[in-house]
Amino acid sequence: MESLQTTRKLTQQEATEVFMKYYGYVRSVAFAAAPVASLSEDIAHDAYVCFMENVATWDYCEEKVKPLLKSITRNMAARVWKSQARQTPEALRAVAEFLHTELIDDEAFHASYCSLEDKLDALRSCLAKLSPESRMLLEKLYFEENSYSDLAVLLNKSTEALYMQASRARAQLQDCVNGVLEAEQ
Amino acid sequence: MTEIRRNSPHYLISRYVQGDLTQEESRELLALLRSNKNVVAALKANLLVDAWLKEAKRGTTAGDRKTSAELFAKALTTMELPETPAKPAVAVPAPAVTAPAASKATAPAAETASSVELDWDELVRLQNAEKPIAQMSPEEVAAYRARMAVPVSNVPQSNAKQQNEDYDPFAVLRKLEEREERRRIPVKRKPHKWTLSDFFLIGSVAVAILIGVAVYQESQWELHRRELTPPAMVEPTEEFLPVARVTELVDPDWAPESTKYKRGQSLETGELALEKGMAKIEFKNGAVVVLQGPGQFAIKGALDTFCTQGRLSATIPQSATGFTVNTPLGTVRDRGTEFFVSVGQNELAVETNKGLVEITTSDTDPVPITTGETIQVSRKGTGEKYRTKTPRFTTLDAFTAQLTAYVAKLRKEKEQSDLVLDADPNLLVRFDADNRQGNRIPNSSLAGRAQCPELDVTGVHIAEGRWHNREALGFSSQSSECVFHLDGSFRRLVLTANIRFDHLGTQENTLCASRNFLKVPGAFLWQICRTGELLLFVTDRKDHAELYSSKAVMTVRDCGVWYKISVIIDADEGTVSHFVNARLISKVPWKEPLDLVPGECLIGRAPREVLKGNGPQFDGAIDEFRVATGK
Repeated sequence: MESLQTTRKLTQQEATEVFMKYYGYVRSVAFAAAPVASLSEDIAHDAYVCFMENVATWDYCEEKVKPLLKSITRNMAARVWKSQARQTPEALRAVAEFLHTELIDDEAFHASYCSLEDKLDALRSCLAKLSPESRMLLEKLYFEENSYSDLAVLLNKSTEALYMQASRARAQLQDCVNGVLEAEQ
Repeated sequence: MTEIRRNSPHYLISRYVQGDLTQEESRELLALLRSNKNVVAALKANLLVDAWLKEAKRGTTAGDRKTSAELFAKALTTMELPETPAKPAVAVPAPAVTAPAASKATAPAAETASSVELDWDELVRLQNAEKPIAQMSPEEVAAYRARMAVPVSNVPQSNAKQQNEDYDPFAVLRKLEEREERRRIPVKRKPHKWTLSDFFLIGSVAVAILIGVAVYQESQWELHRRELTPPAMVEPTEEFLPVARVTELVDPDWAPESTKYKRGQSLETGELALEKGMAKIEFKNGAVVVLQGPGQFAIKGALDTFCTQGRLSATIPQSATGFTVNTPLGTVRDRGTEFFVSVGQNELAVETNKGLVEITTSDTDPVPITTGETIQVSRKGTGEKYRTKTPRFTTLDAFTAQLTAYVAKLRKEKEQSDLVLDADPNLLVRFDADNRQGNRIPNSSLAGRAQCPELDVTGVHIAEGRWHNREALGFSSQSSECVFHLDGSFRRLVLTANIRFDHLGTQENTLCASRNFLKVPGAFLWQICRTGELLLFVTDRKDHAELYSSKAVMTVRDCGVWYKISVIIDADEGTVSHFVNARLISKVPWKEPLDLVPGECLIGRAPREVLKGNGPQFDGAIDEFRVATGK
């Protein structure tokens, strides 16, 4: 996208391009504001609609885009969260509310959450470094979308053991990816 | 085998990520998160990786689905099946390829290695193959079996019996196929047989729904009943015993020596001197007096008043029988009426619109005056009574009509000033309760509405606003929460609120607070202290905030009165200034100025997470709230 002059109104197309440039950030703020994975896309969509509705009232300035999108997304998240609250189990809601306060202003989390493309190589190499068991478990969970109970049968383990193993594997993966990215910098 | 603890952090984290948490597990996980930072970090790590892997599965944002397959395929060039403890030797039949009974085929004895080379595409193709394995040709089966040799140890436990008799290397694959089959074919359920317990359950649910509807309707009725009701008279305390309140004002112009009473202000005793306009005073005993300027009126007690000069009308219910208006030329005592008094320098006129009054002068016994009668008293003596055809004074109805016109004029002036205000590029937020739409109030500021579109309103009631027929948000419940988001950092902020508080002395009244108060430097808390000072706290580091307060300006006598309270927090100038009704009350230096970070803000309460219990509330009403920046 060509650089835009500061403090001028955006056209609809330019506004869309600006929004898509920060779409990952919006998704991360949406997730942080309502930490239930299924809601973040709905919230991001509502944020897009609100952004586009108000684009005529806003003077574009690159440094103000992120705070603006963050505010809009958080407002939309509050609305969606309230409307979806009854459908989210109480057990999940309680932890999600705790996570909300932890994540909402965690810019490091937002930066990590949203940009997969620059992590793809690191992710690939770190997957290869996992133990075969852990690697296979993640593959069966995410790529094949097996359930834990099915995997317990397939792999001859208890579901509890698989839950623990998956959590450890994800934590190891994240540590490894961070290490690779830091080494590259 | 080590027993897996169901309360171990990794187990609980994984359950949350999967969305399968039970209530018990939720409590345990929350306890761990609150007490152990490592658990919080592990949960964040899990959430991040979960998001990455799901994104990889969907493909990158470029929409390349092959990327996700490559991601896993390249990493999984060798798939090792899990090792399990050695099992007792079982008789494994020699491999035999027979068609078409592939289900009874057996694994090749030679291939018992724990790892095999996999052709990923082949596996995927076979898993998704349209042709069930039972229908494959013997060559296809043999080729597949050679690739998918499953060691004995991986046969599922449930097939252990079958394993001894009839080893089936395709048991794993069959399970996958059966699962796919279940997904495609809807399960046929048996017809349900209704029992007594079913009817009982339905009945219970129906009763619960009816109760819920009734409670909801009751709460709605409560909302409407309280709608636009004015605040109750301030309750008497040791130091303040109000007997009356100024409830309405029409274009008032107070005399220089008089107290400038405000709408809603309570009085114990006091003098009102109007040069122009009208004031309506309601007594606790129900008496209503309308004073018309120019005039001087003093309240001596609940039933005892003095009119030095001017005109007033009084409506006295039975509960206030004996209400007296003393004048320099005589005393008018009510006997259950509506009457008028006009006091000039040398003349007193008393007219009764309804009921009966008694007038006593220095030269007469009490003279009764009934409906429609007027009497005039001069320094020369008391005149004869005469009948009046039309009232010469302002009746309560006429007062109401004038009040309506006056309020309409004020509203129009305000609308015009609001238009100018909303166009101010420095105004970030203006929430006017009169613009409420259900549970939200849109941001009226043109410059700020993109960043902060609305105020989310929960748990408040609708109260009477600053003027008659104007709405305000009423705060009295501990569950009230009005939230808006204003992200970014600011060197200067001006917070303004039109408020009426109903209690002082027993609690602080919080006007506005950042949700991150005491967590993030630059987050703030704005309050009216229980002793009447205006307070502003600014967080300078985690768990610490500096206080910038004014002198005591509010007293219990100010309860029920509308005020415009403002604070200017200026990091460039290094000062915090408090204002009441646009008048500077105090200006204090800001010790270590920093950027202000409002973030998620609450109006009318402090964040629960910061203060113990339910936190201090604001007990009263707010009809407008503004945030501005710049100069």
